[in-house]
Amino acid sequence: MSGVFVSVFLILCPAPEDPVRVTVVIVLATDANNTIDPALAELAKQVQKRDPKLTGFTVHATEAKSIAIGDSATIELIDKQELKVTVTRAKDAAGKISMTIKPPGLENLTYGCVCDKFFPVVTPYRTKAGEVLIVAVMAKPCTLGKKPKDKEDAQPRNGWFPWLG
Amino acid sequence: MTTPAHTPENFPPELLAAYADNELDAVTRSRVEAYLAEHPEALAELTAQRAFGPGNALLWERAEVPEPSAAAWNVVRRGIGQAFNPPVPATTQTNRTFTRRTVAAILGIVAIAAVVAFLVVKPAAPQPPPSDAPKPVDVVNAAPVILEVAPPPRLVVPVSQPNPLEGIAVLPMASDDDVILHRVPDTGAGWLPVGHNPLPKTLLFATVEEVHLEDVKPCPAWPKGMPKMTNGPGTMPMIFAAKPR
Repeated sequence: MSGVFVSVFLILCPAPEDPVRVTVVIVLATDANNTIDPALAELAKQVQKRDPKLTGFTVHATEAKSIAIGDSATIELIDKQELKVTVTRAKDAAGKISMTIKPPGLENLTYGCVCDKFFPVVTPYRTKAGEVLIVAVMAKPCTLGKKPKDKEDAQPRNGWFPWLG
Repeated sequence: MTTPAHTPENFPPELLAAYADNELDAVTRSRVEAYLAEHPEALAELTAQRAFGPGNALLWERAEVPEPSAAAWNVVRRGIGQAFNPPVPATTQTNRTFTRRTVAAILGIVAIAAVVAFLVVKPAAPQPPPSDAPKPVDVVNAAPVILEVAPPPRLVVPVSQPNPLEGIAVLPMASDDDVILHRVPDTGAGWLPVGHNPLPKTLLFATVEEVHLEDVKPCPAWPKGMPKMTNGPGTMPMIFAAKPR
């Protein structure tokens, strides 16, 4: 009897959602040089459409964290500035993951973005050297530690009764 | 000039005593012996001198100094006390008190005078020796010097540490999937032997169709409400809140 209840419970209760792997690229833009990191070529071109004086773009650091749905994480940027990231919703039907971020000098921003694509934020914070702090945030379903199953395990046995097969 | 012969009348008795104690020179000794030869009656006195001489050790060892009796000691003690504290007549009691006070006053004045004289005539304070001169060492007040003695050498037996690489022929290395890099600073490429750098070679940015704002808290960076995501057609959506220069 209890086995029936357990089966019904497992069917009705959805499985816990996997955490989201959030990647944050910390970029410093400056007008003191024109060195552009190759990975930031597209970002530099788009930012320069708004501020042509920013000619140099370098990656300060890159950090990735696995955040469960509904949880938050704080990422240290530079000069003790932080970025708070909250995964507010798992991937919806449109393939977008909803996140709320709190960049330095700004208030909370909640947005939805597809997986594996960065969303840049040019913050009002400037370092002591006058560099503009830019963060680019990307989220994707966490696949860390999940290795493809063995061929034997991938092939279903003959139904639910192994002794038959 | 010859020495006149001795007779019992003029023979000095100390010569016979000195002869008995063997303290004479050869000449005087021969004279004493000549006298004894001429006057054999003096041999009895010589025998008596020898009996009481220093050569009779047995006699002097047994001899004891006579001790005075207890009564004699008391008499002597009383005499000494009377000599130092003579009896004073009763009529001089006031004078004695006055005398004591006078003596005390005189002694006090003398003491004060001595102190004043010492302060006036006191020699100047000792000047410190020149810097180049060796400083005297106050041995009395100097703290005792404790010499640290090194402990005796100990026999140190090396303890054999287990080899952590024992039985490992080749170091097993983690694969890229075994390592998770959480944060990577921009220190150039090629310094991470294993692990996936979280920074992709090319950053793919979301297009207008792939990102949308859901909620924005009011912020001075966008006074009109929502921030402007794009800046014309063909531009990449982003939040641009950089301060104007």
